[in-house]
Amino acid sequence: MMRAISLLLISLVFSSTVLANNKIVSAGATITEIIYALGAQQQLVGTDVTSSKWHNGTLPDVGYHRALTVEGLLSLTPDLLIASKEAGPDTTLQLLQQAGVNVRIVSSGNRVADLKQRINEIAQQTGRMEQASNLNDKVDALANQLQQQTPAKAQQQKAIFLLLREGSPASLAGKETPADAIINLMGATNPAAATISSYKPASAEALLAMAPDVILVSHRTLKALGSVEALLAAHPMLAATPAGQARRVFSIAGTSLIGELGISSLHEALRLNNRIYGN
Amino acid sequence: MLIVRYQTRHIFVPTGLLLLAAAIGSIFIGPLPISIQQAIKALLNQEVAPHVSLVMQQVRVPRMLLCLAIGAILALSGTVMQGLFRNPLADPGIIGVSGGAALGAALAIVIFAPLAEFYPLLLTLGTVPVFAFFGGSLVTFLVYQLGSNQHGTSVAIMLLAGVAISALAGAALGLLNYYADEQALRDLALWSMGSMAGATWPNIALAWATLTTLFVCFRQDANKLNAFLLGEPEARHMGIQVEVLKRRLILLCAAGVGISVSLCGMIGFVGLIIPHLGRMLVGPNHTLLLPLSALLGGLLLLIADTVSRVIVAPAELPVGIITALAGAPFFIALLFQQRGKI
Repeated sequence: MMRAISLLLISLVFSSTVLANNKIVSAGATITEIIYALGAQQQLVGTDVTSSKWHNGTLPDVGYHRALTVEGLLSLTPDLLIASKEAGPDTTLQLLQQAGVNVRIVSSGNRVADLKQRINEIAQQTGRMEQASNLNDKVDALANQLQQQTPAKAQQQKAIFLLLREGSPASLAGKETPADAIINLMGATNPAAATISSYKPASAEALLAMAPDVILVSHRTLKALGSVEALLAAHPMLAATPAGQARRVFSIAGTSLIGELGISSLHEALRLNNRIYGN
Repeated sequence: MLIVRYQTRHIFVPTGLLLLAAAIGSIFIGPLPISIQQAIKALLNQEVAPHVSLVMQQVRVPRMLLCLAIGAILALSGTVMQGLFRNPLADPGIIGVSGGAALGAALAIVIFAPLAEFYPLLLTLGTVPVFAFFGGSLVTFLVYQLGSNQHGTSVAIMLLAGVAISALAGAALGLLNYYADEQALRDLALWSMGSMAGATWPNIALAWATLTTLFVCFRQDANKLNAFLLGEPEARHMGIQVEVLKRRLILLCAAGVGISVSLCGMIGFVGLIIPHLGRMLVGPNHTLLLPLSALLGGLLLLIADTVSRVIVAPAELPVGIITALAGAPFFIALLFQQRGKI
């Protein structure tokens, strides 16, 4: 009996070490974020180009997740490729599977439920179910806090996210973007979501007509221009909006905007919620 | 005559050897370290690790074969276009074939990508290559119609029409860029820089069949192309049916470029610089220039693709960037050397 139990114990320990010794390539910024949040980063042997933020270039970069290469990936000798729905091309994924790499596509979506689903799927692959339930509790706590701090519909502010780049027109975040999800989570409405999806160039008149109370830009944009005053001076049409007149221009960390809704997106939503509604 | 042959042999043999060396080198070089013994075993279908045989048999060898064929097709088409238009700047891009093919592919990417979720068959059947091919053929037909009247075909008008239609295709591409979502935008950008990653056996068969057809047809017309260098009226007075010849050659070039664009995206500069290089080596005689261009085109693309696979490994640089990076300075140096001669 003791022998059987000890055998069982040994096999259990062995199986969990097998799981923990995965060699994983992550193809998607949101996936890499979750792998780090689960503390499974030791299993990573490479990431796609959008994930470099988390490891500061210490891991090999397999390129853009839509243009993965068979040989490049195989040179990292991974057992497992965790990828977003957009990853490809399909021929590469098929050949990788033929070469014995386990290819897992995680579920997509910009809702909190989608994020929790992704966390569970990745935890299963990395053998981190315990850490996943802790992480999901944190996600729930954040989401609950955000919900409690969301004002009634009538008091909600109108917020837009603008991608400002030197020499090209401002791009507005519409529906189906992480930026739109953050705006909704922080208790504001995105007037652009009614008419556009993804990122679209915005005319000055359209921006004025939306009359946003809050304008969000990326950290990088604000840093490049120096201050909110400089930003409004560089983009006079923004100065004329209610947000510009009240100097309610805030910045979001770029990492929370790449890919799909992630954990840092929730933290950013809470931080902005506190800024905007002054909790 | 003896002297010419002697010189020719001294150019074709080293080029052929160089091509052979590059072809062998390209299948032994890659981001995955594979020893030469292992590589040879994998090629002979002997027992090796499954990922090694997969990389050798499904990645490196197919890509080498595709590079040779596509490089040769682009270079042959460029040579014929330059001969036909008697214009050293003519390449398949200039009569709008590439622009039309690009527009076709962009349409497929933007319109069909959202549908792919529901109809995965649409993409597996390769809508992008098919649309690229039809886009290229349609534009060539339009340009040809614009350049033709009852008296024949005007090369100058065809060139102008090509520029105009390319501009139109560019505008339509811009419009598609505006409506595309982020995914499709990145796909479009990557596609427009070319890639040899689509090297599957059916694609390779198609590329080699195209190359063989083009080479045989062009070789038969090589002497007529030589006569064309004297001028179109002169060629007509020598008894050549110039209208028939022009139509045949333009359609063949369009098919060649359309197929290569559809398989590998836009790969620039091969069709432009290889004919110049070839003429520097063997002179303007098309019976020699055409085979040499085919060899040099394959060589250039093969080297560029090997570099693209290795330089940013484990990722991959689009091959069009490398051909342009290597090709443009070379072309500028050529222009400097030949200032006043062209």
